[in-house]
Amino acid sequence: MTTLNFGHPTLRKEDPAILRGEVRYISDMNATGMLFAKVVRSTLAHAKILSIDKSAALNLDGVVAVYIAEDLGPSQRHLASFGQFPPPLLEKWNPKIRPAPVTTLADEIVRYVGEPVALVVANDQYIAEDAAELVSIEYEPLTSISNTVQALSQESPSIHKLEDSLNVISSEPWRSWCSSKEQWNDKGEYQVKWGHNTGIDMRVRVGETDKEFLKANIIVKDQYSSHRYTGVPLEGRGILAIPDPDGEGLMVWSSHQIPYFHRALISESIGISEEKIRVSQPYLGGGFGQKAGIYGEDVLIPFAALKLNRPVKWLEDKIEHFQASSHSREQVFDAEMAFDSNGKILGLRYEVLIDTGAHLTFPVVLPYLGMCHIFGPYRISCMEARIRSVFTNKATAAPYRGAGRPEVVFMVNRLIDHGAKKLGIDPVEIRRINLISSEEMPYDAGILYRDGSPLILDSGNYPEALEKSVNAINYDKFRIKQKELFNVGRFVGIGVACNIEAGGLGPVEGARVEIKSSGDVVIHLGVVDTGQGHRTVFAQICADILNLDLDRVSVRSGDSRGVIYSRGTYHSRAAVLVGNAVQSASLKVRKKLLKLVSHIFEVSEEDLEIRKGTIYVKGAPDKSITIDRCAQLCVPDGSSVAAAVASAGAIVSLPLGMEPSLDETSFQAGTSVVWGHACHIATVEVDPELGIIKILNYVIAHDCGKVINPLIVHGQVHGGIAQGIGGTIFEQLIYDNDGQLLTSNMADYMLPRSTDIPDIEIISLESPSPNNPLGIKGTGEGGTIGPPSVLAAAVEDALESFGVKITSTPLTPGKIIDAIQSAKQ
Amino acid sequence: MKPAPFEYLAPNKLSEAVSLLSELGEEASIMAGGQSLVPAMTVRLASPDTIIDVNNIKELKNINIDDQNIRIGALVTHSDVESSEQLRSVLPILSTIAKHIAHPTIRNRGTFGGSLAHADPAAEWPCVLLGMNGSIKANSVRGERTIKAKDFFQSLFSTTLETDEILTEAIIPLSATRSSWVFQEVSKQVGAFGIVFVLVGVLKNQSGLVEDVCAVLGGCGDVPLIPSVNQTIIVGKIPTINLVEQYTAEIIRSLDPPSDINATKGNRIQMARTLLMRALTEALSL
Repeated sequence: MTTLNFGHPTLRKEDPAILRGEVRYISDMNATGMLFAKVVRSTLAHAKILSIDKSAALNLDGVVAVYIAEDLGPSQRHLASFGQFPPPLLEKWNPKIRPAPVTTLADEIVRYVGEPVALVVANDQYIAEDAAELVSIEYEPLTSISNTVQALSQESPSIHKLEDSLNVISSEPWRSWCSSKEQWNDKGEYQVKWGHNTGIDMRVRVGETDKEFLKANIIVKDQYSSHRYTGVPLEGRGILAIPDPDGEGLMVWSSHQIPYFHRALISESIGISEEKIRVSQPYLGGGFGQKAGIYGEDVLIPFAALKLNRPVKWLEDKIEHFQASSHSREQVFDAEMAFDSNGKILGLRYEVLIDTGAHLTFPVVLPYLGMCHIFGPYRISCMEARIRSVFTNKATAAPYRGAGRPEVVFMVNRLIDHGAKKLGIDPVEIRRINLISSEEMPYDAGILYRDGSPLILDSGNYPEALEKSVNAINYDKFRIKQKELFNVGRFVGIGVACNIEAGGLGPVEGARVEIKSSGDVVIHLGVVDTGQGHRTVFAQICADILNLDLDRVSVRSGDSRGVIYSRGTYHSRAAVLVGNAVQSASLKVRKKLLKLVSHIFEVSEEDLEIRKGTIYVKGAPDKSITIDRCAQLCVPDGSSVAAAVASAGAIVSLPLGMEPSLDETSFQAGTSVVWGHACHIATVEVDPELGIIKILNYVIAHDCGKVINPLIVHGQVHGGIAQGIGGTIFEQLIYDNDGQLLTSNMADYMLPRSTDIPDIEIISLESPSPNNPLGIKGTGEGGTIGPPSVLAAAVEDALESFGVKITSTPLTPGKIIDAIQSAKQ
Repeated sequence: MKPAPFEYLAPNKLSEAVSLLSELGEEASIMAGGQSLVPAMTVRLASPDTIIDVNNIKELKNINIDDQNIRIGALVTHSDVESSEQLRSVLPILSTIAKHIAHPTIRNRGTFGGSLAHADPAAEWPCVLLGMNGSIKANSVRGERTIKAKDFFQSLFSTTLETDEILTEAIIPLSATRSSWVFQEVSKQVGAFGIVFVLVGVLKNQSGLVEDVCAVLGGCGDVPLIPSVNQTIIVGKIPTINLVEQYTAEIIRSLDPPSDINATKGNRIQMARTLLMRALTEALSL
């Protein structure tokens, strides 16, 4: 098979229309008789709802309905979410989990500023906004909990109802170093009143850490923390729900990453069959994991549309986005790492508190998926962790591009850097010592991954990634230059960080490939394109197999009618699973096509070849038939058949038993995930007097297996790194002690701008994954994972002479100034 | 944009505008570039009953330089200032400072007069007007008056403009052009609000003695500040790094900047010290 398309940097098919503003987003979509919804949100972080008076709002001209929790009947409920612990993990680790899912509307208690309390539906958006201001809610304020330490204090109120059982967890030697502020009883036992603001409490052990720590030459220990920030897609969340004109069901257009789950949720919450609901996505202006979350609006808007029997549209504004779409990254690790005298890592122990905000959704992702990324690319064979997710009165934490990886990778890379410093080893050298080699592949980490299957690093050459990026940045030369510049009062530094990246999470994705009677091919998918270029990459795979021009293959994605089952776009899984399903379905269609033509020309299939949309008999140039003719042959229509026959020069009918269609579906099931990896190196210059960081150079050696389209992969890497830089230096969600969000607009929540992003040099490595036919690995999260680690390291290196130690993000001017000042003292 | 309901009026003449404002008083807001007002209305932090859009009043768009003063009409945009050859020939620092204001699209609409009347402590033009000993012209049905910059900025978003007055012009005395000006700002990123910024102007005589020095600080209080410190530390002397350090230290001692999400008080003091040192050193060509 030729690969005219696969592996080539084809320009994205979708871009011209997007750039010309010709594609539709939810906000562009309208329906006859459409109403507009506005969510009335909590203004307090923690309070009891005493009463809600909606009469003034209802009296406003143009207001159609106002709903509060008690109006919703069975649709007021706990909403299920993705990312539950699979049975093997429950069995293995026995985690304590307190489910605290989101509810459709707040009921009795509000738990964060921005939580939906009521829904106003009106004739236009302005009236809906006016009416929302007239909904009068009387609150009794409760103590607001603004951080995990406060949440765990026994004096703090419980954010969710308490279970009063008291569990005693026996003390363990390794706990003595923990900075935990909790209670020990007089028997030396550690007491935890389970349920008190704790959403997850689990321990994970691999190897005999205590023994390894006893052998240690040095142990480095500190608190490493990531701050709260999140994705800011250009397009916020939005839904347009349209009752079926025949009164049968519901059409839901939504800006969402998981249409099938969304459909199931609506079905379950509203009580109509899934078959009567179609959930579809037009173009999405970004998703980043936030739109894989489940929110009250996902049920409220369809509910209102059905109740009122009119289309209802809701669009999130930016303040709502910052207040009430999911947040991420706020994790504090108390961690220690043991090394031998050569710098070899002997073991890691840590305790982490994850600020999960008001609710616990995706329980397995941030706590466990992130943790799994400790087991590569460095050889860390011994680990012991206590992982807790803790409730606070802030917006709910959920996966954001990277999904727990950047936080853990930050801790590990910082510990390694601090170990290297203590041992007097260069940060590159200590990584050489600890990287898993390609000879060790596949590498069994001895732990179960987030999906419950063994964590096996399938392929990749981690040392090669390190060496190539070290060469590209001219590491040794930089060290010389660094000294020269230091002598003239300039502070430049270099940082290096390596990470692995799991992609392609199962269980399954499907694709349906159909040759139309025009000879054009349509690929139907369930997954949603949130900006990755699905319309191009999946067409590339199919076009090669059918040997068609790329523009004859179109992709219809993001529709619950696409295939019978789909999970959605997250965990860097679409290319891996859908890509292989597209290949498999295309091969099936090709096979059938060749069978048909071999029947027409009475030659064997091996004697046929497909070139540019025409099937030829090898060595007989006069014997050929175009793909569209073949497709027409499959349509029970006389004229088409006649045409086909005329062209083929023979009288034919379909082979006995062949169904009249060129339409095949395939599903790709993942046995487990696939593992990409990267090495990031950055150089920075710091102005120590003003605390300003300038990134000079950024190099990444990156391996995501076989690449369908390098241009798109580079775009993914660039975008991810830009988001990572943004999160490390600029973006921060700051709450005050009353739980009010202080950064709820684009002036205060600063996204990185083009002027903040350096040129990024990408070194592409390609180690095909043995786990799927195409050898693809995921790349969606990639870029975001490394920047916090690598920038912290580079800044610390630049400020080496001050003795600065960077253990947390963000790297704001104030933070740098303070770090220098506290190092001086 | 989903503001609360409002009336929209767009008079063509200043006389009409002031009489409308006199009639409507506090219920009305003057809209110039709208770069602060419109976002505030969008999120309903501001809900004026009436908007008086003054953009049709041509006479407010002029830049004039007479033998005494530079006169910048209230509707002159930041971009106009940035690109005005007329201004650049007499006071090029204005063009430099304009580049620090937000982003090009905002500079294309945001106005000089709007920025002064809005009196955001993070805005650059109030600093300039104060440092250059300028003033503003205010019009109302009661007539016209001139207010010195030092009497104009009262506190956060608050000026001595009466509710029936429209700011029509900013006046910078030509004497300001004799000094060498340096502007320095620290912000989290290009285009973001300045955390701390300083404008320094120095005048040296032919023998190299400092005749006059002025330092204005932004981001260190509710209004731009000219700390009153002993000018003789540096005035009347041949400048040295040592004197600059002393002068800076005096200024820093007088500061009591706020803490907020962008920087602590301590951070601001450190930033102000650095910016002052750098700006004075550059302005004095040390």
